[in-house]
Amino acid sequence: MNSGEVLQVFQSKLSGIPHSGLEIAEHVIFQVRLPRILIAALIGAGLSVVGASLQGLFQNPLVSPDILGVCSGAGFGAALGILLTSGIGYLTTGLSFSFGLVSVILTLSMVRVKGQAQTMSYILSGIIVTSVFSALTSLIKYVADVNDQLPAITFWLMGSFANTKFEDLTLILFPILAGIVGLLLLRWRLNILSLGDEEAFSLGINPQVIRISVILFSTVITAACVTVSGIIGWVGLVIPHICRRIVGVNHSGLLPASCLLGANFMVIVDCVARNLTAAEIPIGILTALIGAPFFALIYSQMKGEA
Amino acid sequence: MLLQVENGSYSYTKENPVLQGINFSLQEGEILAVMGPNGIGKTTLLKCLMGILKWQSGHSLIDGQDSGMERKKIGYVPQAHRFSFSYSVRDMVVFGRAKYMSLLVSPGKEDYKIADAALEEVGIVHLRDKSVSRLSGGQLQLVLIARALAGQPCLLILDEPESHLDFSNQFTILQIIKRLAKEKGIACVMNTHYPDHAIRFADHILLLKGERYLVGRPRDVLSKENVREYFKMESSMERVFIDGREIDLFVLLDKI
Repeated sequence: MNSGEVLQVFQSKLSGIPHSGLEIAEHVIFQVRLPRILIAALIGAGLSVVGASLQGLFQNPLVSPDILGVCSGAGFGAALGILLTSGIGYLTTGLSFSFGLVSVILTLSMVRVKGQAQTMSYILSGIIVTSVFSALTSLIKYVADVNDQLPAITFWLMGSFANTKFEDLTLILFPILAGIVGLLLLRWRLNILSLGDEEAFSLGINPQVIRISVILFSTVITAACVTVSGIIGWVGLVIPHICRRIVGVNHSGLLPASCLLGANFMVIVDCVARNLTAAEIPIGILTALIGAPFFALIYSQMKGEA
Repeated sequence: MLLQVENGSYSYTKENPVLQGINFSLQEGEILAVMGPNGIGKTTLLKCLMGILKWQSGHSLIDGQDSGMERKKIGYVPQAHRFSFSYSVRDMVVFGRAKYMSLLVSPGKEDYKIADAALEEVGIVHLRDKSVSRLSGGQLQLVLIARALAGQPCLLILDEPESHLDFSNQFTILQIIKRLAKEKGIACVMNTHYPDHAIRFADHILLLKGERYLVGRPRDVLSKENVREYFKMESSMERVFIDGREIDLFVLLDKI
């Protein structure tokens, strides 16, 4: 398909006059490519804005969206689904999303049991939940059928847009957009939470209410992302850092900037993933291969400040 | 009476009460210096006043209302510390407006105007666009005072505002606190380890130790006998006249 054909398809769609001979091109554009691009953009925006929000919330610029265990929980859910159904159907999607939520609920209840809502208890509880779900995922891989289930699980966990369909878009559009809007609405308050609980309290706000809202929105976004694309690392860590260099640390500007840059970054990397080699490279591999050295570069240039 | 603490008590564990039956009151424009050995509960007292910790018995009142209900009237100045994210000075000061804003709103023109006025009040307008990570300790302390002022408080609570500063910066900070108290009628409660500062700048001293405490005028509270009892140090207070000014000097003599 060349760009002329693409233009013709759009022309016929807009003018309402059917264009004979382009049915296949039309199908490819509207059922395969456009949904894929939109999904990539949504997920890029979602993961980046979650990364930026959680870094602010936990006062630590090294935090990424999987800090509370969402990704490993959702990964386990998907692996379980593939084991049970030998495919990526509704059950797999549902299990993945649910276990993403379950993992964060586990993390939060562990913090509650501890009784101290300190940043460190969240991070430690997240690490515990993450490692338990990783172990369970390994267990599933161990018992999975080596010929079809194991490769399916492995590829899913690598993170890829290869199997995304139009239905996936309708599935995640609402949760991710709602989550992003929620976080954007709270963006100025995040500044105050990033000062620590006591200082936030002394400035007259209730840190707990905002923290729970931010965690809730972040979890919904991350779980929805992981459910359709698998685990795509580094985006949520690197994009906020780049944005801080461009628009500054104030979350009022940082969150919208992260959304925009994250969406663009993901669409571009997905293009590369599709076109670089004959067989598509899973995007999770590429984001890490591009993201990690890039991060090293930025980090080495930082002069003692985050 | 702006601030009243009645029978305030707090303990972290049952065996060791930190504060017991504290009573004191503060008028508009008065400065109270809280003194006492390390770890005796000075910061705990400030936290109880702010409502971060809840008095286990007794209560504190601001304008006759429970201070937990009147949190908007309290401004808090923490010790200067490093921040995880290097906000600009102006951003940091406008955070002091958060308590007046509803949950989903960002600060508006009016909030920035008040923040700028607060910067002017403490004399650091020129630092407005600098990043807080590039400030000296003294400048950072001034930013934190400006942030508290942006919240338009009646009561300012300061946790060792002059610690870790050189003596010239210490003096600047304390002078600004004194001026705010006298000109704007803000009552101040501040922790300090420096008797000279308490004598020079405070109207009252609250001296804490275990289950006892003293409150009164600086000269009376820091008497030989009291310093011996609370700090186990010999001391003397001398009144000297320098350039026609009457100045009380506090001198430490020996450890007992």
